[in-house]
Amino acid sequence: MGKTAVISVDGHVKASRSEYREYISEKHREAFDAEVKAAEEAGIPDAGNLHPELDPEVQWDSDRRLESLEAIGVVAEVLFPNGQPFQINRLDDYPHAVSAELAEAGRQAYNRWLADFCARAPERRRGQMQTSFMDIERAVRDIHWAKEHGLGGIMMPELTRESRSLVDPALDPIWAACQETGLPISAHGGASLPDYGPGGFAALVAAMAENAFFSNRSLWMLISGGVFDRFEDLSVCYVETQAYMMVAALQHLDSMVNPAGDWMGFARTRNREQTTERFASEYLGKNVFVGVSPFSSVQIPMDDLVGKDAEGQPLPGVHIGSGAAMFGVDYPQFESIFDRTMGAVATLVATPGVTDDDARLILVENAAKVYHFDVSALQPHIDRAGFDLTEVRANAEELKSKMPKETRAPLMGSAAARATASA
Amino acid sequence: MAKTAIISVDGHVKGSRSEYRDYLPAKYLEAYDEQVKAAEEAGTPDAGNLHPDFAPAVQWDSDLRTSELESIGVVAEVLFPNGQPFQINRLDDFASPANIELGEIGRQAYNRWLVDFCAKSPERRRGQMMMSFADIDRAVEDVFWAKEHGLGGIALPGLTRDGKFYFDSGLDPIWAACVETGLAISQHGGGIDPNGPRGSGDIRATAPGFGAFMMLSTENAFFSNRSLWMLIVGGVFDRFPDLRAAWVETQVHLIIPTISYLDRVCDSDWMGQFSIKPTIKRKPSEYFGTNIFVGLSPFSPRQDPTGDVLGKDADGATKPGFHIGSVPLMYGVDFPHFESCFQRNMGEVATLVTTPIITDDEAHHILFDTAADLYSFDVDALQPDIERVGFEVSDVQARPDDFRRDLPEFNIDHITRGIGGFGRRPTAATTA
Repeated sequence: MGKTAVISVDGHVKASRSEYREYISEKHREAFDAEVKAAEEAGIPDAGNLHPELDPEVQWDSDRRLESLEAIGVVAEVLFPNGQPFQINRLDDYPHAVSAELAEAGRQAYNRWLADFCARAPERRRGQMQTSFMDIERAVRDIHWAKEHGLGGIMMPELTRESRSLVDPALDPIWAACQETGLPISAHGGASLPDYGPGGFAALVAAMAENAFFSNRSLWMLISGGVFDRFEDLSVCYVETQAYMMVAALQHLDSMVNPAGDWMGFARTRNREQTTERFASEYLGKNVFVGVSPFSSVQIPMDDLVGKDAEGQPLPGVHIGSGAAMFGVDYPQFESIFDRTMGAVATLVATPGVTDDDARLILVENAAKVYHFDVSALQPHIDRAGFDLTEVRANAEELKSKMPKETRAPLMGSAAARATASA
Repeated sequence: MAKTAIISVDGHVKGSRSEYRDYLPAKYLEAYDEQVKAAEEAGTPDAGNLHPDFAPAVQWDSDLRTSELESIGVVAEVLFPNGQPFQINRLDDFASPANIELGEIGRQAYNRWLVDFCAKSPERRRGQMMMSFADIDRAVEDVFWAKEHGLGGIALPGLTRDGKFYFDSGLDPIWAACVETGLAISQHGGGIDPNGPRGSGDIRATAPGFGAFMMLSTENAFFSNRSLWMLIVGGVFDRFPDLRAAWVETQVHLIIPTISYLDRVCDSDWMGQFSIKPTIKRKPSEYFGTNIFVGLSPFSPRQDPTGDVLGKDADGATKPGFHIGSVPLMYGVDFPHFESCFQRNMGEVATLVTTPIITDDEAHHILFDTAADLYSFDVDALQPDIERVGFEVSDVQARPDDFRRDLPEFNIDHITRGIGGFGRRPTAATTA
């Protein structure tokens, strides 16, 4: 069997400050220069969320980025921003600016730069255009612009207080434009989070727990709103949004769509008859895809992800499954698994019940299908930078042993173990 | 075997329109009378969320309510509101008034009415005082007021826009007051997004169709349980180890995956990457049963679609990973709401006590004992009522089909197909 490799559905890029300047309209250049000057005087690095072992250049240097990724078996990427002009907090995955005008200027500059960055290696990059759904006609024009300029998808905008609910049919022209152009929509983690106040354990962990909800919110809105019934060819990917929450929500929706259930009775009393045609979980692998990123069993246990037990028998209940799951490295962010990618691959491949077919779907084929990568064009890169699944399985323990200890072993352990330790 | 009965940890009450009038300050009577007049002219019934089979009077008529509940084996209740003065949408579990001032007046009037309603049958009711976080000093006074006036717990408010999060240490005086008075905290379901998208109008009332409705039901599970993980990660149960709290009708299906995820997070280096060490003393799941309790309401195996609640497999063996287990579980009828299990109550009991992996002891705990302990019911005082209206578990086990007749077809189907039904299904073993 031939080699395989990884398409990472979660990469983050930005231009350097000086490069962004060329993409900013004249009108906003003065404001941009003032922002850059202030940042440089304050000693703020030219980086978004960047792992301390990585150079800022990997965010924008095309060849260097390709080389670094090939070294860990990644041949192609789906790209999200790692900072835009006029972004206030450089660590946010969803940029916020001081004004709507500057946000729009920053967004447009990013999109234009992204089109050029992807064009340097078009068969290996799928940049996700930043847009807004507040002005629907504008969003439709943006989607066609993205298609014409070689971008590979639309980043799902975050919901704000002013946003329309995604169950609202007023948004149908947007879904129609995506379907017409064949561009998928990618929701990324970190959307719509409230401000939890000063840092610390409580605020951070509350944000982690609630990020899973807010980042996946479009999932149940689109399904409940019947969007995938009206637009059967629409694909939406959930990247770094915490897969466990998707499973819980789909399971719940499946259990509710039953004519004899309480909710359906309650819905009827309020003249709200059922409009969706399928169980929610049936959209998985058809319209809904899941980028598990950074790929790890902390986010979701592997057998739960593929929905099979050690003998390869299907586990009951809703599971993402190898028909919908994809692999994210989250390069070059702080939480990225770039330094343990092959350990994560080995964790997947060595899970009892996971076949080579499952592994290939998750590592490369699902992403290739949804994001329209040309696999024959990628083949030379796969042959050069890829790996042999049989070998990975044979060396799984060694590959996993190179992962940092904390990402494998429980820190707090069981209550019983801690009681013993403190006794 | 002695008889047992049910303590329902989920009941909803309100004063009648004319009764509420007596609890409002003179200054607000005019505004109140106008609201009542408008509602009556519009033909709006004097009811919150009320099942069409019930008369509105079950919401406020003490004797009628008691006898209705006795007819299904319920001897005592934990009480939440079914509508407050100045509430706009009568179906909301959390009142949204036209403005903050009217909201506060409505809350206070409800609390005063609730005191009097509980006093009509004090050994059988634990009214939960509706709390507000707007003024912490006032909130602390309210907790002591509730204790002095015979209320049996504190109902947590939902989060408000720009309000305090439950992990905020500024709320500590409230938790301290709860510990001092021995009052438990109850978080009822029905929470909504304080910030959420408003571009399509109020999603509960005006957003289009079935989709909005499904979305509401899915999101309820999240917004109603935010206090759960926020109190845990805020270290509130470490600072106040005697604080006990219950989550009632908040949808267990979301509690299990979220707590499991937080357990995995606390057990990995995810926070080490941010140079932050866990500051809580236990894993999130380990507060269940000592500080955290769960009111499954309306009681049904359908609340447990994955069969994960009890944490036992079909042979009664312990499943790996986090499960709520029988220790923190309590039984809710949700009387007199539309979705209440009132009409099928003994059918649900029959399902519970005939589930092979549930011991009789566990059934007693779920039906009665845990709620009696958490909400400080006087079991001796309840004993005559139990003898009169209760049932023997062994009798229900001997002829469960007699009790199951009232179950809708779907429930029966659920049980026979082995879906849910409290842990009958195996689940994924967690991988290291």
